[in-house]
Amino acid sequence: MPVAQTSPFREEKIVLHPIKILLLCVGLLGLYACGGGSGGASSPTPTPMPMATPTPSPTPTVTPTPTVTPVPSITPTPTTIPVPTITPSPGGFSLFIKQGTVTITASPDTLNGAQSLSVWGYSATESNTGTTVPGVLLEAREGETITVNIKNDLSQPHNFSVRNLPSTQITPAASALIDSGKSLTYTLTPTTAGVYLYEDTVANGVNSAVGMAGALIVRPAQALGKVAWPGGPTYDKEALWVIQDMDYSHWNLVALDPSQGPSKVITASYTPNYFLINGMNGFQAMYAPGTELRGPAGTTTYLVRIVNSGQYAQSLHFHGNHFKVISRNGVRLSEFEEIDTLNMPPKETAMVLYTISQRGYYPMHVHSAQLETGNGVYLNGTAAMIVGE
Amino acid sequence: MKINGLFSPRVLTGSALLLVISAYSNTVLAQKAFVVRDVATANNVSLVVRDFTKTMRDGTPVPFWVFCTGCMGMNNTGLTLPGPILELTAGTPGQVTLNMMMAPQEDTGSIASNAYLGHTIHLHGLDMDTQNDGVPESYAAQNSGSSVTLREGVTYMINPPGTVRVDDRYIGSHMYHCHVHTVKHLEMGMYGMFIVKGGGALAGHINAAGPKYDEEWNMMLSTVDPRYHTAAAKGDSTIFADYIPKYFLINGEEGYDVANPSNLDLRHSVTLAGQSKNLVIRLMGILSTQASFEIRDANNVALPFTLYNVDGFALKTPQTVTQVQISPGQTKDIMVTLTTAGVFYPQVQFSDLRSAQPYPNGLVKTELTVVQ
Repeated sequence: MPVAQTSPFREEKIVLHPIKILLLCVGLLGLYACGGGSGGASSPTPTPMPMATPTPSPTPTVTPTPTVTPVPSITPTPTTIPVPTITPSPGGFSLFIKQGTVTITASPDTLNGAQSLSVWGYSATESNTGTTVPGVLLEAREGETITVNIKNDLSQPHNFSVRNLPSTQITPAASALIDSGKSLTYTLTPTTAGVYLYEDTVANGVNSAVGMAGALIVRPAQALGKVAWPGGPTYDKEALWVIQDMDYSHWNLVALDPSQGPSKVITASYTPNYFLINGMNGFQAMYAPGTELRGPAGTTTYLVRIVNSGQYAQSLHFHGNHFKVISRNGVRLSEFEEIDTLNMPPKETAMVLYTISQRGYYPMHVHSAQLETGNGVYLNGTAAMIVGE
Repeated sequence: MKINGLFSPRVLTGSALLLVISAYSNTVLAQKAFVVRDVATANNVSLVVRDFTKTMRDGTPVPFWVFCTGCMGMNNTGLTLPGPILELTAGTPGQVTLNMMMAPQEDTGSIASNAYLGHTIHLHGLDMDTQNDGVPESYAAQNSGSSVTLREGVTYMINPPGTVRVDDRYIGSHMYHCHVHTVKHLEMGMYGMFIVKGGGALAGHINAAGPKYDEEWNMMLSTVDPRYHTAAAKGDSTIFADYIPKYFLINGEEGYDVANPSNLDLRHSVTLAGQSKNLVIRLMGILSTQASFEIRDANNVALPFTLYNVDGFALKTPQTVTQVQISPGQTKDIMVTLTTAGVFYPQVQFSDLRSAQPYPNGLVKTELTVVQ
């Protein structure tokens, strides 16, 4: 079948308006006058353009208005970090299933996006205070038993299920329901160090999607120090990222409406517009303790435990350095591949080692369209900051 | 046509099966010499930002913003989606300068600080330092709120004097893209491929420990939600709160179409000339969905190939597979060893982020012709 050779751009219409040409000429003159336009220069140092002299922009296409972002200070942190301890309350962990609020803060750049989201979650308190999303962080050590007492303060039955935890290591089973106003005590004896997702699996996943999810960290024995698992890789610091997407209008507002409820959510349709990391929006999470990665460059390796409790795959891109993936869904990998972008499918977990290799500020952010936003407000989606000191 | 072993990861030599070469294949061969995309060395390159409107296959005009070289004034040379391929030899210095003199800007209207004006170049995967990373927010954090990185004429320095970060470990595929209001600017087309190649004894190798290749084919996967390209999609907008991809692209094209010979980036031919040939295919995901890559034969059977690099770094153990996934921001480099003639179909299936369900029109095919 003969095919004629034609321009590859044949179907593309080049748009160059006459007014743009005029603006270009004005812009070129303006740039020359202000010392700009050093394109192609081979300066050995980056970005020598001074900004102390605000120059009127000859056209809106040449000199953008400066963006002012809050500047956090770099505060040296101790280089010796103790091995984390686990201190559940006497008698085990106490969780309360209740309604709560996630507060989305505005973008400091545009002042847009502040919003309160109504959610359900596993809270540490029965009062109106405290965090509900993600749920209380549960921690255990390999082979040791913990108890988790859960009281249901909502009007529907709920449950508690830990993904990828063998059924022999948790009682009662996920099929047990916690009726409204009742409590149930779970006994967990996890034997494999790692990070797990726990959630409510009732109502076809609607309850989990509106906030009822959290993380269980299983650590090796205290005496082994900071290792991912017995005989596994060592680290200096650690962080936990629980990421979650929410279709607030079509799922939360329906499920939490007493006149409707979870059964009224149309689960075939899902258009999430909020993307949380540790229950926070991007600007809030960036420098939050426990979410931010920070430490002396060259000597700080983080173990980052990641849980995707949502329904969307999130592709997490780290700036500043490649990192090593050491486990996925509880499976300890035999080879730690070095990548810069980690795809986290829904309901999956992973552990990575990120070494802060250079000074400066480096974002970790999701690399797909609306997930970078909070209801369309930029950088209020899934994001964190990495700070090399 | 014999296909068994055609894509063996081993380098095969010896006799290959004869195949009658069609006139069609001859046409493909002739077109191979046709330059369809600029390749620029990143040792010292200036990237211009321009806009243009691309008419999609269904006749819909969609505005794009792209990087290009040599496209100032009325010169539209190299005005393509995606932008030019940038190449750098590992361990050598590179400079990429941003030229915004003809740059389209986001009309942010009432946005308080016009936060989303300007452009940058982020060298995705090269692990640049903050000063050269092209991220306005982290640059401001490092530099007392400065927005200098958004200014015209910024030069991004790779391996500046006295330092070598992008070394042989980085031999593989990476990307570059604007990092301003990326939910808008990436969607508008401000991206391209960045390939680090081995020098000296590693010239032509897929990575520092991997085999040599004879041919290379680069594929940039992207998606388009036309709503993001409208004038209403600016600043903080609820348009960006959802993403409904309508067009699925490889190298800016909607798939090989015999009736549309303009999409030459989607065809590749290899001449064996009596010996096997190693073809590297570099897959770069600037998409906002999920995607999977396969190579099918004429009987629609998925053929094996070997995955060597992920995100521009070599796997410790290459993996022979019949499918790889490419997620937003990822790159993967695969190699196939061609031993016999035939026509094959490297293809990408785009799927959604929730349940990986294929989009109905999300299968984008290319065509690989192997001639004796």
